[in-house]
Amino acid sequence: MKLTDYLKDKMFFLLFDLLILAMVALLFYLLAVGSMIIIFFGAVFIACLVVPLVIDYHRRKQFYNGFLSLLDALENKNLIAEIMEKPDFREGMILYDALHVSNKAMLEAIKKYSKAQEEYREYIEMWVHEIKTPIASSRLILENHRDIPAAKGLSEDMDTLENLVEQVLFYARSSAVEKDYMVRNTGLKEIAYAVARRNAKIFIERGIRFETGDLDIHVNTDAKWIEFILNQVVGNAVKYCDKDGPEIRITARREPNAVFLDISDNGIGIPEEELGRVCEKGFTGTNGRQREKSTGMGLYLCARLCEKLGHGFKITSEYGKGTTVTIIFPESSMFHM
Amino acid sequence: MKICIVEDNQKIREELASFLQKYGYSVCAIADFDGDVVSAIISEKADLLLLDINLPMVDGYSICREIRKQSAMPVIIVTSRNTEMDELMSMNLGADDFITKPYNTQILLARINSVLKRAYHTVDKIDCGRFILNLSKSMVEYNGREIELTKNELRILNTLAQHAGSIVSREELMNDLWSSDMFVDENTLNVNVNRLRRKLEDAGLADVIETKRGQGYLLK
Repeated sequence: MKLTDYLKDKMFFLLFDLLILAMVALLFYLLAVGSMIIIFFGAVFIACLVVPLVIDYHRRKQFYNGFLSLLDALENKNLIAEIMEKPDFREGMILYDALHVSNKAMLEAIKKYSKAQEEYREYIEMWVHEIKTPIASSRLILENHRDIPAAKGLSEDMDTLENLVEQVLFYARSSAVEKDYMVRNTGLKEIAYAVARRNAKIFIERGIRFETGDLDIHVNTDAKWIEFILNQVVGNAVKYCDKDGPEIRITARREPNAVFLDISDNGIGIPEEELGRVCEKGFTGTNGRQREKSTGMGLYLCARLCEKLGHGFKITSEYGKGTTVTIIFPESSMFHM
Repeated sequence: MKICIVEDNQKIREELASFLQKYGYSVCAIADFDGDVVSAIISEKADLLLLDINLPMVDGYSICREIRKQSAMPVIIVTSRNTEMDELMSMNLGADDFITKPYNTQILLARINSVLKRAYHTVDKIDCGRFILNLSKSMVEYNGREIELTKNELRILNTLAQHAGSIVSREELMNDLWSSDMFVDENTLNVNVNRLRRKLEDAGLADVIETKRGQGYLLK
């Protein structure tokens, strides 16, 4: 707050006072009062005017400057009402009270939305668990009637259905504000094998070789989340494996600061100009569009879940030659336990 | 071996029962959850319990806890909730294994098998007519001789023996190998089957495994 700003604010008041001073001085002059008396009166009048102004200016300047620098330093600007000093003059109090009222209203609005979002998430989670029962029973019925002609096609669709349902579940989990995972020491081998078992049918059907390198490494992660991520990546690799002698390889290596888990395939690869965008929500790319099966959600979810878990997620690819997805478990996240 | 199924969904209960029966288990199911579920389970005297967690009236976890107090029967918990928390909780309550719905039936079978083996240390022997397959020692017993088998060969012969007299397709064999973490491809399967055949032949068991072109293999 600058002095000139303050004076501009008080301009009307000052001009009016000066007018009064001039008129009184004129009156005294006409009444033939001695000039010394007029000057004395004038000085007293101006002192009475200026002293309270200076005091008032100081008080306001102190409050507003403190307030503004606090606001500037604050990361969450909406917290200003909570930590600002309570002013000792009327206008400041009005500001103080108004900020508090508006803050409270905003908090209530946020609470309403986060409650609505939480309820929605709970509903989705419940729905996912409910729908698993009919899926499970359909699978069993199919298994018991494997010789009917429709069984194979239905069973494939059931796989797709299950995968989509799982995506919904993890999407709901990934957008939750609170922590919804449990980090434990987890063997990469168990996870990779579980994913291979889950995809056994399609691997065998398409004659895809499954290779594993060194996987006897333990990392700190949530086993269920990482299994989902790995399953999405392997699912992609299967989808875009379009060659003779298709092969998917999972291997891990420990380096000084991190453990790297590589999932590589020798499939069709991703065009270089699309590589940076494949993890965007809803991005399907040339490959996805040509096959009309991509939802653009798989990799987006993987990247997001990895971020939440504190893992790195990287994709390298050579168009026409293959793709490698790398999940990085930084050593530092192992000390968080 | 008798398996007790605790599951509130009628369809799953029935289909699971007939699926397990197809694989040679005898099955009983608990369908009434109003009464004393725990004593109903105990009185069935089953060898293994397949327990669903989400049940009406009672909580599967508390059933598991009660069962553990009264019996040492192995328990596999089946649930549609698949968080790490649920899995830990099941294991802490004394369950032997944990499997999530919807389950892959091959994996379910493999889990049941391994839990049973762990719990009863049974000497698994399958009488294949001309020879005996000893699963726990991974050997074929024939004419007083013992022929050692590798993990893959044992698995292949076991699957063929379970379907003795009918053709097992190559896909089925491979699926079976994959469900026990042996991720073989077509070539490896060929090599394994041929080596198995030669081993049996060397011991005097010729033409045990017949190739049906385009269909699969048959154990005679």
